[in-house]
Amino acid sequence: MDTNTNDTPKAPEQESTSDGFSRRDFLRSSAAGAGVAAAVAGATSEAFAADAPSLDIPSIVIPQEIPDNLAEDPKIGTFDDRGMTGAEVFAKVCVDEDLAAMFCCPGNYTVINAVASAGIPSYGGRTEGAMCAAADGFSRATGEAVATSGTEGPGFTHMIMNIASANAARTPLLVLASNMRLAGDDREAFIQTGYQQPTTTGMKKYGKRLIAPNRVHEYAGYAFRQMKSGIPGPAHLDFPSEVARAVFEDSSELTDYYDKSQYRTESRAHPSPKEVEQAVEMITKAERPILIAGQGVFQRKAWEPLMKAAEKHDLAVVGSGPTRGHFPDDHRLSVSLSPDALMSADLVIFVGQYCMPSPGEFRFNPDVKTIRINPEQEDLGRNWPLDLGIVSDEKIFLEALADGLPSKKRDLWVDEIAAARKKFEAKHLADYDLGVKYSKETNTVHPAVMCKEVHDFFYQGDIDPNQTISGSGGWTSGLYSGRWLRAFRPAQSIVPAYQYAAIGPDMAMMIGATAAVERGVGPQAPYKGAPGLCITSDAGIAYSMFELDTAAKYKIPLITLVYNNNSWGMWPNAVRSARSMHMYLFQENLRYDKLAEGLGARGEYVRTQEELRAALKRSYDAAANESMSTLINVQALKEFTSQRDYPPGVSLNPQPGVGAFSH
Amino acid sequence: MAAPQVHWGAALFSGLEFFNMTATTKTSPDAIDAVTGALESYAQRGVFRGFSKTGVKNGKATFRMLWHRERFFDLILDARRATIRIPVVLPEVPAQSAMYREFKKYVLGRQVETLPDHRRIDPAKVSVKYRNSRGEIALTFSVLDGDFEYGARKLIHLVHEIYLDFLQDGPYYDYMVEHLGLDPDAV
Repeated sequence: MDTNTNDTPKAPEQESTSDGFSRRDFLRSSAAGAGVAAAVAGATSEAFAADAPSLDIPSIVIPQEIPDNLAEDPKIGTFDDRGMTGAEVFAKVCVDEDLAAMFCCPGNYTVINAVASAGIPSYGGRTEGAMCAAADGFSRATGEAVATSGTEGPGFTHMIMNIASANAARTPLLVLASNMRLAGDDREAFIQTGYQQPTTTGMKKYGKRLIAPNRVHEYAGYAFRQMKSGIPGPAHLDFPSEVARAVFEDSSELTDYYDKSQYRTESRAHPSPKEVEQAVEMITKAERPILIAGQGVFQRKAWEPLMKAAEKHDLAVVGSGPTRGHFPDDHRLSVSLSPDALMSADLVIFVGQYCMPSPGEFRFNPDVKTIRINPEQEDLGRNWPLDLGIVSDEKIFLEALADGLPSKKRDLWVDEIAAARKKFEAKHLADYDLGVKYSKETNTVHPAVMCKEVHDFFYQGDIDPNQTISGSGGWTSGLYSGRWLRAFRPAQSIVPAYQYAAIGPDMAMMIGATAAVERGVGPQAPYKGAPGLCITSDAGIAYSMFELDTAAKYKIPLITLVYNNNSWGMWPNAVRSARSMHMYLFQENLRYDKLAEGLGARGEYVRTQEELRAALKRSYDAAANESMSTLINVQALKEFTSQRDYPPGVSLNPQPGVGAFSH
Repeated sequence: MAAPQVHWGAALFSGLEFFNMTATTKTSPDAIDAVTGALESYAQRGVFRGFSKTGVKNGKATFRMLWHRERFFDLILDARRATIRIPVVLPEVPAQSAMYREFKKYVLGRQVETLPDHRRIDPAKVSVKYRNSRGEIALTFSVLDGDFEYGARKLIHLVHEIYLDFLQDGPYYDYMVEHLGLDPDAV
């Protein structure tokens, strides 16, 4: 039990109001303002009353009902007894398809209960939008299909931003929602009527309102076939109650009730030997080739043949996509920290780059030649003209490439990459030095200082640098942290803002990602149980804040830094516009750490580099030893964003490489 | 930032004096063909979103490209004077500004001997001149050895790097928003 109250540096007393009552006084006297962390299940704690001993306020506790309920044996529906409901039929398909997890809010009750009962790891949270982001985060950390669910109408529409984010990231996300009764269609019967499928147009790979109860198994197959074949993406099924609650006495009542091996295939596109020869010839002739290891390399778990091909031929590699680490940042052939070398490439090989940039968006020179490998023919040539396009599964192509490439050393090219990395690191260390100066002058924390401290703590201290999964967002905080967070192994980092650039799903997404680590799923298995790390902004945290309750409830150990600059990061857009700035500003010195405490997590408040360093240590210990989440409120100034006030301010990170989030 | 090591040829043309290099070994049609071919190849590669040759007269050819930040760039070849010029590389950069000082350093830095050959503008083949006229920065390459294709390609490379490297790595986000149409909602 960590009350945190004594360890947390004291915040400065705020200005008193005219009646002599400060905001801090108010918080101190309120229940939410007292230092607190969730007690173990079933236990009580006096911590909540630590700051206000005269109040008889019960502690935050995890009710024993939760662990007891989670410990119950799974129950998968069968036809043996009373038959199976449509929801149970669907849940059985989820089990057969190894659905990795479900994140939801109550609603769509029949379906989520059936899925949870069947043994799919399930998490119930506070808002549908954030739980959708958590599902996406779990999938980005594992590559597995994950479900999210909400109630019809309001719950479903609350998910929209994060369904769109998942679609942009090509996440195999199963979006489930109840949707009233077929009998009430078009009548606005009772409440929550809505046409869901048109709402997700443009943000899903596949969708269907289930209108024939006896086809529920068939359409479950449609959904999984779409998510697990070719390029993944969200599949959206909405369930009228006639489907979810239908009862089937035996399998003859269900259409296409057969095994997944019959409704989809694991067969993958192979490149022809001639195409592989062409690619090998072009790569061999090139002097400075770079392979872009896109999302498909991660999805297909192709990091081993990628490494083999790269090392055999001194082929430079840079990872891209919503998940990072399928080629390690610290490898001598990695260009992820060497943006200046990108412009030197004379050949680029895109492998599994689903979200294609246009020339000029990636930092390659105008003469660079291009090979692209993609599992679907119709996307080859989109946006970026090709010298060679190959339809192939990423893993199969990389295996063929590793076999076909001759051994080769490219010492000059490797030296150039190393020099570019040195230049990149020197630039950001110079920014850090400036940040230290600014921090001392203002008694707040500059974003470069925040990120360097995080970097040193997680990658250069006592912790295994390969261990901690991370993700970041926000404008100023996201741009800076992208340069300092590292991925040394597959899925060590995810990019919450990838392509769709939603503000705010960061922490919820990292709760999902950390849940995957907690369970040791897929590439997270070697680090099972390790804490996760999130850096977000004060603007962004508003979208995810209440899921700290979810993290505490399920003991998902996440350390979140909130870069608190009292504003939306885009405030410079209002500088020259009359009567506009107020829309960009918050109250100053808001205490997100106190909100965290009120939700059963730990809170830390820091205004200096030294305080941050100490808070990271305490937070990590609480996460590693007690599975306790912490929110560290890092007080900053909005002016750090401005190039005019505190140069260098913000700048866009080069693509591809660390900090890139567009493609 | 340390002063770049500048080749003598670059120093000679460091933005102050303009040399009319007429000792070209190519005829005007050859030069025009070479530059046209180079630029068309970039259009074919998707480097330019749009491209046209807008006029040829008296050894001069004018090209128009839809390129970085969805802006139109004009490129003017004067075969007789052996120059290739982009009149507006960047707009709204005051001549006395720190940004312009850094721009000049950056351009000169593209010619230093420490750069690998594939990244360097060879001062023996082209000289580089910049000019700031009412905030509009122009770049002019004088082709010294008649290799117009090299000159055109290197000029395109230089402008490309100015947009993707100089502007993005430097403290110019606000500049890009205010003067290059960078949409803060769309970054």
